[in-house]
Amino acid sequence: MNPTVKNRSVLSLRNIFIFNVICITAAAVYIIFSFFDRVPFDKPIYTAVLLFLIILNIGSYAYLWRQKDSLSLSSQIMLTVWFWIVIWFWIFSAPFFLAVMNIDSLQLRWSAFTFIWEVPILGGSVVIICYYLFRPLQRFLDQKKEDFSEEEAAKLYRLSIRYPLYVGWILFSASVFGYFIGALQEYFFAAMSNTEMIKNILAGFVTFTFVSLICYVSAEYLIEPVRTRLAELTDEKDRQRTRLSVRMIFIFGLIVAGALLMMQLAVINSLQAIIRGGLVQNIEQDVARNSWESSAIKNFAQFSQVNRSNVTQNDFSEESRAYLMSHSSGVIHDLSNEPKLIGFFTDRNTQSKSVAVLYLDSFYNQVWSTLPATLFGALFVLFAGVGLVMVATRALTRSVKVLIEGIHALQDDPGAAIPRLGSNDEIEELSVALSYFVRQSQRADQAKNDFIAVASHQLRTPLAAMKWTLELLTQDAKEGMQKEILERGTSAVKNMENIAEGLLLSVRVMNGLSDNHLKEVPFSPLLDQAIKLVTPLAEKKSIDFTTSVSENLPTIMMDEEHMLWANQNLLDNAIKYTLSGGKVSLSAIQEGDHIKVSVTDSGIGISPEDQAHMFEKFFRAQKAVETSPDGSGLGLSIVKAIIEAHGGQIDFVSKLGEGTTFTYTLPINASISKYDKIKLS
Amino acid sequence: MNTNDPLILMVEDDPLLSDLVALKLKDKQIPVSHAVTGEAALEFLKQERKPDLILLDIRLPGIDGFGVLEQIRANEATKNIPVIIFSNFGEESDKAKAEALGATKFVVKVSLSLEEVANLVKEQLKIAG
Repeated sequence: MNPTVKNRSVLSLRNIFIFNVICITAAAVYIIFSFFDRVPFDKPIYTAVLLFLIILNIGSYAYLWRQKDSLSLSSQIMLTVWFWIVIWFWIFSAPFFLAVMNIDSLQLRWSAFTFIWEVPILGGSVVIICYYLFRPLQRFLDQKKEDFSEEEAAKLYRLSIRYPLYVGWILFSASVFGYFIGALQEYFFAAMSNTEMIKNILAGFVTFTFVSLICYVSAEYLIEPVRTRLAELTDEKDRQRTRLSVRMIFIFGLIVAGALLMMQLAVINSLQAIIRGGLVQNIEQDVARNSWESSAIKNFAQFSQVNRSNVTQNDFSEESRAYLMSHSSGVIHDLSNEPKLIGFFTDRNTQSKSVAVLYLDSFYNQVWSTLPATLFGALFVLFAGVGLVMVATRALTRSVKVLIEGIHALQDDPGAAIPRLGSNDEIEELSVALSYFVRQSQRADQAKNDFIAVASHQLRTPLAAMKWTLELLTQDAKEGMQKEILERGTSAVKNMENIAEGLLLSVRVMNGLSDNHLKEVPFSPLLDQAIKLVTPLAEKKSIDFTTSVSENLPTIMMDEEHMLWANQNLLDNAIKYTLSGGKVSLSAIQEGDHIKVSVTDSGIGISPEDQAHMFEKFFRAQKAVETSPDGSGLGLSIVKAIIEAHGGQIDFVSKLGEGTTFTYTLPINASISKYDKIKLS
Repeated sequence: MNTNDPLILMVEDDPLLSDLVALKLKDKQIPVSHAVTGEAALEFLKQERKPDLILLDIRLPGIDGFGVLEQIRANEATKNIPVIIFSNFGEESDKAKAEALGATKFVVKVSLSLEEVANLVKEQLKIAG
């Protein structure tokens, strides 16, 4: 067995996962032991544990990321989401928590324990959900493109737009849930004071809004190649676009919320520090004056005097007593976990060190009473911020929208102009640049059409001369070789004439239907005229040519010359590509608000490979070239252009060797204004 | 040439085209006179013997076909002569202009065979087959 393969299998996704789980579980068990004072636990130890887990995770991630290409999309998403959860919760959130919170040893253990179990359990659930969420897209990647219909691809495309947002929201919800559970643990088991709880929750909000955002952006990045592949299979109209404004509101909303919450945190923390400092100072001054009773602090705090040397085990835990001995002021918890503010002073009378203890409950109530106002202010800033962002975003996206509509109009009508925005910004600059290129391309297109038109016109005179010369010569030529060659020459000239006429007609159709060519024309006589024009050809080839045209087909707004040409061309082709003695039939009926015309022949048919190209300019099917060498390959492309310019549709069914049926439908009530818009690309 | 024979004037700047038409019509005993420019055509029309039919090209050096047609219709002596516009420009606008100026018919040269040209002429001159 190849040793490198074996080596690789040891470091597989599964094994790395198991190794990580073992390490995290070990860390959690260590913290549990610390609850029973079996092992020491303090900030440096906690920091070391975090550092170990972070290095372990980043190392694993980096290793797996190197083999990214061999990983499935689901695994990539799973790994990346996990990576960001670890980064945010262990690198930013936990140290941030340690830095801003006033916590004692018991609270430190509980919060450490919370961080160690929540990240793997909740984060693990999130990544597993993400893994299964992305399975449909993974299946798309695993299978062949051809196995997916356009409809399925469009559905998957829409999913690919939504999934990154789902990742963000799932993570957000899980984090909110996790913080809620964590807060309950801190509250019930570690007696976290209310102010610290608020700080904790606010810090949490900041963390999980940002981790959700970053995971959303990462998922967007990872999904992009799949989306591009799906886009190739999907019709442009079916694609749901990610709305710029939604994204911007989402991102700005997060930023505003984050900034707001950080501010809150800073405000509460500094408020705490100021009050604490002030109170301690007051205690010291008042006690120094020996006038406890008259103290202003009596108004909002209970206090008692405890001689430092008499701090009893009954009142304070071992830890608190140690703290009392070595600090001059601070917040500690007594045995019933009530938070107390302490300050030390030297009694002037007895000269002994004493400690004053303030029970902070009533003081916290004061803080609580400001909460509604604070929340109101916060909500106001939040809504005002998001509202302003929405207004700004709309102003931006409105111009973009106008521009997009302009481009869409251009797709329908190549002669359209890009609208002027008047927004006097970068987007208007873009629109001006775009207008310039559109005009350039329109000019080039017009120049091309003009050139073809002039060239085709100029060809007409020499063509007429060649044609007539050959006609005169043929007329007088002797039967035999000479006459045959002259006839073949005539046929070649005829072909050239067809090409020139076809080009001219295609230019005319491409320039669009102009109003002054449009008139109401009864449809039945038009078809009769086309039938009359091709009947001699059918008779010459002894083709059984039958027609069934409803007598009272309605009149239609049309360019008569073009429409006649289109019908004649369809019939002409049917006869041309049907062998002598075959059958050609034409039927025309009214179906609802459409006229439906079918031309069926028992001719050579079209091979499946050729069918896809039948309406392309200058395309000629192999069989067609063999049967009738003199064709330009322009006819069907022009027929299609004419039918579509009149708001209709054309298609065909064919079987090689058995025949072909071309069918087109025309709307009866298409208005003139509609024609103006329909031009050909 | 018998004065009862029909006379046709072909105004055409391409001599090969007019020669081919003349050759074809010669078969049918229809003589064709030939003018290369608009001015020459108008000069020809000053003659006593007016043509029975004019085949008029539009693109001509000097005065173009439309100018010639306008003057033909303005002149009392020639205003009733049938004029077939014999052009290679078959745009709707050309047709409309020719019709407005009083053309009898408008044909695109290249779309006809010589035989069809001959038939068209005979039809105008009301000569049977």
